[in-house]
Amino acid sequence: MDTPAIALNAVNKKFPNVHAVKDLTLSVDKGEIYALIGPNGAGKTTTVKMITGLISPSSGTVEVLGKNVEKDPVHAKKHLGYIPDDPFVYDYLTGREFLELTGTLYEVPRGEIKSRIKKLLALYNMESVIDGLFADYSRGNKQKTVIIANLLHEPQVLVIDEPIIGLDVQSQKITQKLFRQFAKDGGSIFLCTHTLAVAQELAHRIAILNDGQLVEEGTLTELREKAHEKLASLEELYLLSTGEKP
Amino acid sequence: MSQAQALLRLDFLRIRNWFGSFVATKIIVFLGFALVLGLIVAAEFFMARTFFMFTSTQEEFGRAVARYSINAALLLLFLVSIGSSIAVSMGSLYRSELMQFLLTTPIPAVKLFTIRLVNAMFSSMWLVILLLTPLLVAFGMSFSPGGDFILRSLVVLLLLIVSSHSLGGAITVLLVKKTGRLSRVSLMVVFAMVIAGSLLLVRFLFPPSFFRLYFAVDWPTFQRQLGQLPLLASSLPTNWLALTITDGWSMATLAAALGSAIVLGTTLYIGKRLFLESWKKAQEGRFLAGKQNPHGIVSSGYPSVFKGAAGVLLTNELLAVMRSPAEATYAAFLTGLTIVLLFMMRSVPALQNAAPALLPAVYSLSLAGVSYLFMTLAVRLVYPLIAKEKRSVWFIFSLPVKRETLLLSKAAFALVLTLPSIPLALIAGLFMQLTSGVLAAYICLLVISTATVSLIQLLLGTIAPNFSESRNLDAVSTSGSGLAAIALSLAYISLSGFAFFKVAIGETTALVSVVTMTMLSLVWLGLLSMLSRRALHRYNL
Repeated sequence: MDTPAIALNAVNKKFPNVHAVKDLTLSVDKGEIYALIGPNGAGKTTTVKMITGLISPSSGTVEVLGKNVEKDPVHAKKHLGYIPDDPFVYDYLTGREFLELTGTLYEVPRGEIKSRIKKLLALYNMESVIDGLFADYSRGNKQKTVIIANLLHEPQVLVIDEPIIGLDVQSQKITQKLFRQFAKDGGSIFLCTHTLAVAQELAHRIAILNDGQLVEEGTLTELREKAHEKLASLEELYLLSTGEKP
Repeated sequence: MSQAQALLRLDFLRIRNWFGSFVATKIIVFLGFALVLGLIVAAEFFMARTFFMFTSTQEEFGRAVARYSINAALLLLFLVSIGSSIAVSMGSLYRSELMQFLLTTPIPAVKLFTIRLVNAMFSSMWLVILLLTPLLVAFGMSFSPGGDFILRSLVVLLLLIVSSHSLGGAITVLLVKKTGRLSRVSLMVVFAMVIAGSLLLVRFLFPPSFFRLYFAVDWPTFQRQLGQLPLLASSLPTNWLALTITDGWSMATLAAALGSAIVLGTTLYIGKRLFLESWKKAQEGRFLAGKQNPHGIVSSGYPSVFKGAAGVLLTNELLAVMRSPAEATYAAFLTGLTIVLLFMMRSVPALQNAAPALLPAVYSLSLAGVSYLFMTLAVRLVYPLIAKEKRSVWFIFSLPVKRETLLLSKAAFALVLTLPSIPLALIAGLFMQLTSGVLAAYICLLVISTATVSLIQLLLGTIAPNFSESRNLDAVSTSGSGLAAIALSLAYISLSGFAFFKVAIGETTALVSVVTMTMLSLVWLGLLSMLSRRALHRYNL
């Protein structure tokens, strides 16, 4: 059997006074787009941070491409890209400098960095702004720069927290197309979002997290079948699963 | 509640809420800072008292020198206070995110300007009060300046604070109005101006004629030579203030009060006319969203100065300082102070004839003084290195780079900042005319001290980073670990000064002192490194 791109096994995360993630087990296959949705405070961002190695689980294991994120963080992160919901980047760098810094830290050869930047910038039509200081960027341009930075090292797994916030309609379409192509080429995407339309449109499988626990998981069709609501939208299924009647 | 009261209440709420959680810890931090400040004030008082007691025995000559010293201190503090108020006003008026909200409310901009100016004045006036009070108390105890000395001192303090902060506020508005965002070129100009200004100031305070005073044979000659010094020019406002302290109420006091009122009035007028306009200019920048390449932007890649992950991250830290107006001006300000200190050392050899017994202590104090300046630089630029990564943690901690490598790059940055201590130590030693063996000890101990202090700041900032103040670098060190870092650094600096004193009086050899301090440094840093490596993997962000 193929090693899953992401595997969480009985993961718990406890903060003082809060049990944020409870016994979470899930896996994302290669070439799959997996969406995690849930209300505020459900534990989505905590889960994302554990996958990307920003925080340690209190118990359980997190693996990326078979590498334990806690025990072997450098190898686990080598083929991982993380796009956060707050695309904060050092204000004193230009977009191009940030992209080159990222590429260098992922050990992409210098010539390769330059050609990939050129290609990815053209995709978003960002050549005209990339040499300005990051402090001067609009929210959307910051988000696009961060997306490009995470594609530079040609990762096999992308973890995305709110993928399209701040993007204009055109850029949203480009981004969704980019992610679909990424999965088609064998890459895996774990995305966290409140925009249910994006999850419904992009994801192969959807999971609903509520109060730190996985309450539902499956394809949209499977979720509908479990809820005995054959024509329900993802929004209706979500509200049912989280205890809010539509 | 009036608008003004509501705005002033904001600051009260900020302080109250700061004490809202972890009360016991914060009270300890507060008391700790009070203790550190108390020690600094006590040390300054001790030195001033020793100096004034000595001069008070020298009859008219001593009294005149004491007056000159008060005058010089007032001028220095006036300039330092202007610099400090520019830095605080820049943050309070232009960088505060709260201002973005307040300017959308129906509060007149002039009212906002005035209240924020008062706020900036309260935030930074403590520097003047803490530095001037011990000096005035020591002067009052050593001479008999009259029954109303306390009242006169308070009036002088008030006038000095109001005039320097008003001037600082006005300069800030005019600077922003003229330049908008500070460019790299204008930053370099500011840097050059501060250094040139410091050199001029030293020349102004201690002109060659000052050193001829020592050879004056009688009182009339001494008086005549003293009166010719530029610092005592009757048109200099700080001279009016100094006269009020040393000689009592006079027309000079009235002139100082009128001068301060005029400066305050002019600043408020400038604020009324230019503040809103300058604020808007500072916000404009180059908003990058369109398809057109804005004028003046050229393509430049990431500087490949150093190799490897640690090297690339070190470059990032250096760029952060070089491209930040606040950090660069702070470094320029400290450079200026260092130059003043350095040139004061030039007059140390004159003590050889006057009071040779004081020389070892003066040498040690100079070493501690330079180390202290490097510590203040490290408190601002090195201690927050981990805390300031809070918002970029998604990037820096998700990289396939060991966290130890990140720490290594920051340690390299901390050490790069201390590199100027090598030429500084050499110049200071040559200025003070140290013998070759003592000079070698001076250089080694100063370099070890600055490097150790810088690393102490980094490691304690890693063990317990103050993430709650990650966006306010001025306040990052106001935490338990920040206080511990300052206390530990001061302890190390004191020990270095003591170790050098032992060499200077010939009680120990340079080699023994250097080896002892190196061993101590290795033990402290080794222990802190162990704790910080552990802490690096335990942040819950």
